[in-house]
Order: sequence, then structure tokens, then C-alpha cells
Amino acid sequence: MLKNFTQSLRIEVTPQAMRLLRARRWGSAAPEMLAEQALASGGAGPAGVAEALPAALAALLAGQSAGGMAASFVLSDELVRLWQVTPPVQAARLADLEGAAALRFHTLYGETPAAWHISADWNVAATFMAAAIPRLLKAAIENAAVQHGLVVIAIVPHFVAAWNRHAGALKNDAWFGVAQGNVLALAACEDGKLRAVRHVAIPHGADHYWLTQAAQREALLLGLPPPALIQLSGEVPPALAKPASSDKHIATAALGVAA
Amino acid sequence: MRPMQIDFATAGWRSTLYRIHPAVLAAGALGVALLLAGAALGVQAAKQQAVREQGLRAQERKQAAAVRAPERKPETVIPEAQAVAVNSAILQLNLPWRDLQDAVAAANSPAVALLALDPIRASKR
Repeated sequence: MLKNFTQSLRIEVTPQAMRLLRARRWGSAAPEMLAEQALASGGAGPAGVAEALPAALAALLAGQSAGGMAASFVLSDELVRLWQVTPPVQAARLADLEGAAALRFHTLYGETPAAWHISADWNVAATFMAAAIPRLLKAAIENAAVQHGLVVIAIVPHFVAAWNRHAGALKNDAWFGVAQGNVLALAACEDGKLRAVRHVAIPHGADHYWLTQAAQREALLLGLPPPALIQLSGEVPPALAKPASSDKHIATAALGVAA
Repeated sequence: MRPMQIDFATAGWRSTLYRIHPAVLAAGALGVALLLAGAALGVQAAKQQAVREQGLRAQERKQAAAVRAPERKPETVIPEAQAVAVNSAILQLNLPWRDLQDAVAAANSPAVALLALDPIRASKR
């Protein structure tokens, strides 16, 4: 009971593997890795993951006393869709914002959001982030969790989990980067507000030169001034983990492990 | 920066409870404990008050009874002899002496004269 009160499980789902971590409920200690299980995904994308997830979760939890524990699922950004929604001018109810989010989803991805579960940081006054997960994947996660006696307390995209963990430490005009696998999720911020999230592939041997180029390119595309500082977290490549050696490069600061 | 409120999980009481900071939970528990303690104290005070009230009521009742029925003082006892004397005096005074004298005088023959009329004491009869 006390164990359940002080800690929770964190299950990271990527298209390739699942990881089981133990997270302290409070304090800033990094989650501690307990087990890892490759995902024998039949098909590509979320559908394949949803299909392979129950078996992988069973293998992952084998030997762990996880019954009754609270578990939060962190999905890698490939499995979810993240986009930004500008609220309609005269939005008065949540339904207006939901409609705007669905409309934007349809515009961006060319399909109706019927098969997707949308969750967003609803805000009527400013542009907000919305995220969607296939209903199939959500149902697979919740069913598998119920089968193993886990209580699902959160299902969040990896970027959102990292953002929420480090939100207090982010500087106002610095950009925020979360690396997972070979993808860097780059959050462009301005005046203390999140302007856009871009996912950039990290090439082999990425260094400060590459990061500076990528950030400047994204800044140009978004019409923002290039950042003076990028705060990085997650699986940062070793060359990027060190401080920048040249003044011409954008400075980086490490925030520690992701989420 | 502000955290994002994005979560796909179905909301439930466990997840809500989990999201609340333990300090808030502790404060809530403390509040509930204070409330219970206050309620217990109130009930106890009410009970005490009821007991005192009851005692006061009993005292009042006793006092009221004492006030309503003061100790009856025995009336002045009239001695037997005095009573008899008073009664005989009243009897003497009540007798119609003049009528009696007239009746006796009228009934007598002229050879007999009425010297005196004297009452016979009832007690001596």
C-alpha cells in the first residue's frame, strides 16, 4: 500500500520496444529502469503496436509485482499526432474548441478524427496544443492494463511528458528539445509561450553545428528569431551533451533525463 | 513555462488522487481531522450542557415545590375548657329570655311568683 502511495510505474511505448520504469511520485529523482521488451510489431504504425502491445506488456510485467500499481503510459511521438489549434474568435464553449481542433486535424492529416481520441490543452484565448491517439491503441493500452491489474493514471505523448516535467525549469526565450531515439522534438518558444513543435531527425554524429543549422532553419520557417539557448533533455547525442565550443553555435543546456 | 494539460487516459478517481500533491492531501486529511475533532467536541459540550440543564431543571423543580407549599403552621389550639365556656356563653345569650319569662309568668297561678330563671349547665345535665 505504501509502495503504491510513494511510487508509480511508467511504461514507455515506442514502435520498437516497451520499457518499464519505476518513478517516484514526488521529488526530482529520475525514473529507474526495471525491464525492457522488444515489440514484435506485425504491421507498421499505431495499429501494429496496438496488436503487439498486450503480449509485450505481459512479457514486460512477468516477474514484477505490479498488481494494483498506478501506471502512466508514455507514447513516443511517432504513435501520436501533435498539432496546434488557433481557437475561433468567438469561441464560447468547449464544443467550439473541440470543433476547431477536429477541423484542424482534418486539414492537416486529410482524414476525419473519428478513429482518434483527441486531448488538448484547451485555451480559448491563445493558440493551444492538441494531441490525438488512435482509439485502437488507447483501447489496447487500457484493456492490457486492466488485465494486469494496473491502474492507468495517464497516457501522454513523450514530448508532453518531457515538457511537463521540465516546464518549471524552462527559460522564457529558450527553445526546448527532447531527443528520443533518432528524433529531436524541438519546441520553439517565444515570450514564454510555446509557438510550435517540430520533429527533426538526428543524423549520425550530430553536433552543435547541425543543431544550430536545424534551429535556424526552423526559426526561418516559423518566422521567429533564432534562439539564444536550447535546453535539451532525453537521449541527447554525446556530441551535443557538451557545451558548445564555438561562439557561432547556439548554446545548449542539459535538463537531464526526459520526463 | 506552463505545463500542458494533455492526457488521453480516461479520468478516474485514482488518477485524480494521483495528480494531487501529497501536501494537499495531507492538508485535506488535517482539515477533515479538525472537522471531526470539532464535531466530537461539540457533541461532548452539548451532552454536558444537557446534563447541567437537567440538573438545573431538577433543582428548579425542587425549589418551586418548596416555594408553592410553605410549611403549614398549626393553628392556635383552643383548650377544651375555654371552648366549652364560650359555647355555653353563646347558648345563654342566644336564649330568648324575655319571651320565656313572659310565658312562664302567664302560665302561673297568682299564688305562685316567679323569682328567677336560671340556665342549667349542659355539662352538669
